Amino acid sequence: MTIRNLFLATIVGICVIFINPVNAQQLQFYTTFPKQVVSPGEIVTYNVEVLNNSNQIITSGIQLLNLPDNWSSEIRSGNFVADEISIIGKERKSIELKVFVPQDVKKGQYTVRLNGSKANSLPLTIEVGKNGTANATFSSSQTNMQGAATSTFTFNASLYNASAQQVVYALQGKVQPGWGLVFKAEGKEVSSVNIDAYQKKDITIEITPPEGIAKGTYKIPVQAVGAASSELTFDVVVTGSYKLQLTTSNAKLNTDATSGVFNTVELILKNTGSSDLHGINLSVDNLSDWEVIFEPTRINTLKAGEVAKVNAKIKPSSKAVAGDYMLNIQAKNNDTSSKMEMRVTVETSILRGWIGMLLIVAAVGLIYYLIKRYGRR
Amino acid sequence: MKRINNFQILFHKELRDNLKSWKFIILLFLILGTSYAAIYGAFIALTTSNSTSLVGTVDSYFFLKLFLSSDGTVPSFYILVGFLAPLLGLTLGFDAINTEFNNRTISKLLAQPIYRDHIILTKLLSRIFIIAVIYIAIILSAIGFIILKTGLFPSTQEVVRLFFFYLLIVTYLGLWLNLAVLFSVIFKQPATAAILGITIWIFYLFLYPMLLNVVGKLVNPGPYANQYQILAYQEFMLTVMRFSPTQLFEDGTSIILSPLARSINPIANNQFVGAIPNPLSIKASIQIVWSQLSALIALSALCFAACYWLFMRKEIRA
Repeated sequence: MTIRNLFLATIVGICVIFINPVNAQQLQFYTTFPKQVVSPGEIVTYNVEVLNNSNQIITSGIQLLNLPDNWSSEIRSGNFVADEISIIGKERKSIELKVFVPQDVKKGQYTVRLNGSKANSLPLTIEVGKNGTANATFSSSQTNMQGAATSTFTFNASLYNASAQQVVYALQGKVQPGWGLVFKAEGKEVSSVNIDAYQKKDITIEITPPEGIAKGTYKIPVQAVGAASSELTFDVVVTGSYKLQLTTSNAKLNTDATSGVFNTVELILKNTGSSDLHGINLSVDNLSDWEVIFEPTRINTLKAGEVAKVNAKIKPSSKAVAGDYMLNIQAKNNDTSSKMEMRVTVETSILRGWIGMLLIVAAVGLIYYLIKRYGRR
Repeated sequence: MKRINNFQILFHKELRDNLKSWKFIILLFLILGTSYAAIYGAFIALTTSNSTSLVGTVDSYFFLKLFLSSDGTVPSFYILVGFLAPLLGLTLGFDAINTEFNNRTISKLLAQPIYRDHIILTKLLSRIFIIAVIYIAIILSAIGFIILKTGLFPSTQEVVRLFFFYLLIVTYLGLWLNLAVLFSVIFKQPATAAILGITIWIFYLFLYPMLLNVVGKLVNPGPYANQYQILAYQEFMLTVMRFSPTQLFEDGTSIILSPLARSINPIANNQFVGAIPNPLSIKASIQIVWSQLSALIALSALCFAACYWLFMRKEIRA
């Protein structure tokens, strides 16, 4: 048994010596998963064991061969970048190999070799599962926003440059005439941004709808165009605009009024927004002792685009002095308001004028009577 | 045809008599001298100081301010008209009728084929005509002088306002003239008529303001009065003051010549809430002082009627 065992061991030993005559003086690389499937832009990590089968210390340089252009790699052991490794006989050491797969890589198999000056070479296969096209990613966590037509829609987005170079991206969007579209980076308005390799930048997009736009959902596509382009579409949901216009029926903003007497002005309320207005109240800034009566005082519903007529009866204070006064008339509901400044030219009461006139007429009449009676003698 | 000729002949004769008389020539120089001094003083004050004495910038309503402001040494033109010009009316009128009686020319005059009322009408109208000519001459020459001197040109607004100012002057002087002629009809002696006219003039010039001061002290609500009492007191004093024709004239001119003035009465603050300080239209300005203007016109017309009535009823002895 012992003799047989010894014989077999000798055979195997001779065989090993004859089959791998150099192995005894070299390091060996070993990894569990020599082939990995990745997507473009990912990083492939290999944990490689380095074995010393000999009895002596072996020192060897390590390098990665056959790496395609634009790819990059890194060999580390712990925190150190390892270019060279030295291992005591019958010992092993583990190193970490990282391969950075660029974004713009084609689908297919790529084989790299981990090589050492005193080591056998380890072929590693990286299979890229799909074609990598975009080297920029424009993304936003919230692309839908709702608001009134008068509000500004502010979207936050980020632009990622996944390429290995610094790229200048032009920012542009397709909007209908009347819309406002502003890109902001770092608080400033921009039309293009400069992003370093593998970096991202926050971009704010401000969208303002045109005046009087109808209720609805509007799609606003925006693009970042560099070496490659990335598109992002925002949904702007307009709930409708509230707008009210107050003017007079003849568009004249001045009127005459006699102090202490009601004078009627026809006002016109126009809903120039795209939503219906409810509960519009008319009011006037207080002028001491003036009276302004609106007929009707309240408009319950004014549909979009429709016009309502209101009679304003203005009575200046009986103590108002002659000349111009400014009357502020306001139409207001919960959503919007409209103000109108009206110039009221006050004339003093004509009663006194008539008394004076009467006096003059009486005096002149007296002269006429006297001439009739006594003249031509 | 003949009637018109008679009227014209009488009218021209009255003009000639008045214009040749010494008292008129002396008074004319007095009026012209003081008027030009007042206007020139106002002109110097307005152009040298950058003060905004009445309204806005220096050149806004410059031609109106010319008759309204003063340099402090000579009273302003309208004040001068208010107290000095009545003398012109009195001088022209006090001997209109009674000298005809005293010289016994009235019976000769009436012996001619002329209507009796033509005599009184021509006496009054020829004198009003003289006054009108003097004042239009003063105003126009002053405007002409300013246009030459400064290159400013009066706006339509200013021209219209000055025209109403001019009408007011003629009406005011017409009142004094009619009063003087009335006295000359009533009193036989020209001296009596003159003294009475001058007495009334001096009464309104000096005594009436003094009297008002006394009354004012009596009804003064005192330093602890509330604002309503003070307002009532001021309104009462203003009302009393307006029994003087001079006050009526000054109220009228100060409003007509200052488009920014909105009231001649004291104004409470709350009456001005919301008011815009812009110039009034001429119509609005006249409306403010319409009471004063109509009182002046009516008074003048009443004096005229009284003259006419008394003269027509006067017994004329041959």
